Amino acid sequence: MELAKSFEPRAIEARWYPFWEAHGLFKPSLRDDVPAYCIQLPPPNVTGTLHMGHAFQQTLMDILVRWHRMRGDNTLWQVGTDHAGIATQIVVENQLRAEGRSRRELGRVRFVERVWAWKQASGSTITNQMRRLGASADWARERFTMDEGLSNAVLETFVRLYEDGLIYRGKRLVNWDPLLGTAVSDLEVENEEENGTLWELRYPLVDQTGFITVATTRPETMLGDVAVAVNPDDERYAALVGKQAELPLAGRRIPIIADAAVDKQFGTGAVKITPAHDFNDFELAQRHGLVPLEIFTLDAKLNANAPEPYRGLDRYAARKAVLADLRAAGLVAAEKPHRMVVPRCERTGEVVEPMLTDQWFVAMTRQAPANHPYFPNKSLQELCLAAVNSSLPDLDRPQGEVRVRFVPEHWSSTYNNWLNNVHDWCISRQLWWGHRIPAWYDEAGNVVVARNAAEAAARLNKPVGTLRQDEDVLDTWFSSALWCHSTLGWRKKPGSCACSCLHRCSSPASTSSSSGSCA
Amino acid sequence: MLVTGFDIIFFWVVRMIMMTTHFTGRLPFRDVYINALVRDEDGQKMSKSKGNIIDPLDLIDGAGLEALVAKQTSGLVLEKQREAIEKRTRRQFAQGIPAFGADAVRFTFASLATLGRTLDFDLKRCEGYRNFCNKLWNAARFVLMNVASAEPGQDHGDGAGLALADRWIVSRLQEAEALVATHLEAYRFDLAARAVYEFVWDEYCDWYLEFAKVELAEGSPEQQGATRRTLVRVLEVVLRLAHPFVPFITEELWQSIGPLAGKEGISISTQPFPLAQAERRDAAAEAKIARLQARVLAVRALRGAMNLSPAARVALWAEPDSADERASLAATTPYMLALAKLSEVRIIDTLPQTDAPVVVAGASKLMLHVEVDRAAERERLAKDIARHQAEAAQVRTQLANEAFVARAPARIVEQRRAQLADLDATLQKLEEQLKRLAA
Repeated sequence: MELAKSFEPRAIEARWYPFWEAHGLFKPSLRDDVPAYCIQLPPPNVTGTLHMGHAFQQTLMDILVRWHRMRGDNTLWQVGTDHAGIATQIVVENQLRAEGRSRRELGRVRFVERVWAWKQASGSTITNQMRRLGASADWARERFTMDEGLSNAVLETFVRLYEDGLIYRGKRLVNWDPLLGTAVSDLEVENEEENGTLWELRYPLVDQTGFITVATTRPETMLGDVAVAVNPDDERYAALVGKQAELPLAGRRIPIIADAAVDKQFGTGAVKITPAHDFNDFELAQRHGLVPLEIFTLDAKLNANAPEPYRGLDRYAARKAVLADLRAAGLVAAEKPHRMVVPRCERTGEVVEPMLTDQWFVAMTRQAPANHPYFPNKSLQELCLAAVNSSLPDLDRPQGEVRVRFVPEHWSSTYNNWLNNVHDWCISRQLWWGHRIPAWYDEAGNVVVARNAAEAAARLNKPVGTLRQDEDVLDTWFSSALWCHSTLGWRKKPGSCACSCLHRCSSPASTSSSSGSCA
Repeated sequence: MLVTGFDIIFFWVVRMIMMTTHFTGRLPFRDVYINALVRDEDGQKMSKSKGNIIDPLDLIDGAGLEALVAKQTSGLVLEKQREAIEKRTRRQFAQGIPAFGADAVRFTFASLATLGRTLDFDLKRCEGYRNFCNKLWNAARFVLMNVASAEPGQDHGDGAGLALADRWIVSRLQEAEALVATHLEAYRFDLAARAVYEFVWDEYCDWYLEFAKVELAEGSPEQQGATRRTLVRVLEVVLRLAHPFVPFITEELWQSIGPLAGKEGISISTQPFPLAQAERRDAAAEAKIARLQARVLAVRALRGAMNLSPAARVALWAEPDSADERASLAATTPYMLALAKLSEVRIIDTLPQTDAPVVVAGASKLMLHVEVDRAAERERLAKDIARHQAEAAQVRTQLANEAFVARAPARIVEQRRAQLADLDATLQKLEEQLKRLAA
């Protein structure tokens, strides 16, 4: 072949990528007499575009994959895309807004159809950009976190974890985005310092001997106060502990309690306790047996638990009204500029509101059942720590052990710190785009988790039509957490997938030696 | 194996370990490489609101200034940022972004992939690695022009029949192969890329191709054949070695070079990756070529010091300090003539005492013997001096102007002062040279 006089990358790139792909050169060899090597692409947002971080990361992956392929390894770069629950739903909601419509107006079924249409229209942008970079992925195996196989894996996982007691439903305080109307994870909340105000509010003592002055950045939530707390070592307040204060505007009596968690240096040293809308207050109230009082609706307006004049007011309007009324009563002792951390949803910029809501959780510290096939009595937290810090038995080599290694190594301490303080994982989201939670309720509110409506009806012994499926969907990261085994044919019959040979070295095997069928 | 950003260790990495291990009893992966965060050239995080985002596709295909301005200023949350972002874009990308091609962009990323937490992306690096691609391309063209007909010849595999330079490049290739493997095993993409770069640019192109030209012009038919084989074979291996980093150009070149090296297959991407063979290391050849390189570099330095035109062929006088060195000098004379632009290499017992500068390279003293046309040279120097004097006078006048010194940016004034100092220094040297000629 005649070589052009000068290097013209464009023509060369246009020639070779289609050639490689058409000839299936990026498929794993599936030979079982050579080492297996597999890289899992972090699945990008299906409707996103390639940014520098992707391009960098994918270049490195492609170097490794091409190197191993040329070394003769049975090599697979497993690619695919993520449905990206919140991000994608926001994009489509914005499109609707531009048309003067809303998601509610469309209804769940038609809205989800609309998101699928958007996915069809824009879903191949990023994968085509990866091709332009030269990414040598086996596109025949491309997956999507909401395709049939991965959705089935999600269903199966949820049901089994529930049956093993590792998924539960409960009313817990969660980060709530009132604009999106959904819970968001801790990791999706940005805590940045902003300029705010610290108000000092005077609560009259019931015995009419004076006031106790609390310091707060959220005066409107005083309507949900259930106590005033001080540090037990704070001599200024020692005489007041055990007394009662009259909660202004609300006309309720609340106790003055002592708890070591209160910082003597903060404000006046006395704080209001609003357990339904503050994480620290929630924990403190639990220690003292105080019952939370919710004062917000899910769109952050005051509810019927607030005194009549404030009901229906938005939280910021309520702040103004509460402060005006307290001022009028002479109960605002001070108002000071204050640097404070404001938690905002990284997707919308909205200030998140801690809310008590019914959510689904993965239990991180509960033990797996004694009959678990691999790790009886081990919690998920213990499993994760062991995988990196000690080692786990290697099912494929007698007496062998395996361990996950971070490169650079120092990231393992980041991993450990987080796990050592891990909370249960809130996996429900009040969205429409995602895997719907496989739980059904009968009219009496009994809940059953099942693989489908018919199975649920049979278990509850009720006609199918009378059951209502949980409205929530799962956190996007629930399906991507399964990515490694679900994309490689988890639960398929041995021999029907590449995984039995691909896995042994770098990925999980599809076949379980004990049962003879996958996992 | 996983390559991912630290921002999703909790979201994703932990949870994959948790789920896959719980459900399959096996780990989802063994190694997790946490890649650096890509920032702009000033170390700022890339963000829409700063207007410092680079679209990787624009690096590959190129983009005009207006298209870049439109892209950076579209969809801003705060309209007031528009002006600043437009200004920044027009300043930074006055000429737009040239098309670097995917290979140059990939090589840039690989070269920046240290084990650090952050990586500052500098567009200039892309330019450098596009030049690298050009270098590889031109080397392949040279090889194809000289090995037009398929002439793989006999490969004895033991280096028999190969000239010194051939044995040397084959030996250096083993080193490059070993380095690439070692660095990739350790996820040091930067060092692996550097090993490829240095072998291609410094050893194969800058040295070996020059040696090969000598062999092809002057060697025996057998030597010429061996050199052609080596040119093709080494290049073919290099293409495979570089393929993971720069897949497109290596595929394009391999389609032509592969068959000449006796390789079959439809694509380089499934050819075996080169493995270093310890038995093909040749320490003796490397030592000999290292001595030759030291001499060539010494002569080039002499030419620079003596202000010789790059085109001028001059005589080298060499005084070896041993019989062994004398033999080495004699054996490498054809290479010296070509690489150092010499008319002859005269090996003598004692260098004459003259004004000409002498350097020591290895076990030889070297000097260049230049027949100078004194009158012509005096004339040339006088002209050169006049030109420098005029330039110096101009700068001096500007610096004497108080208004200029007071008003111009300090940076500019500083530049002018440095320029004047340089001019004066050059003038002093030129005048000394002229004085010597006059003597």
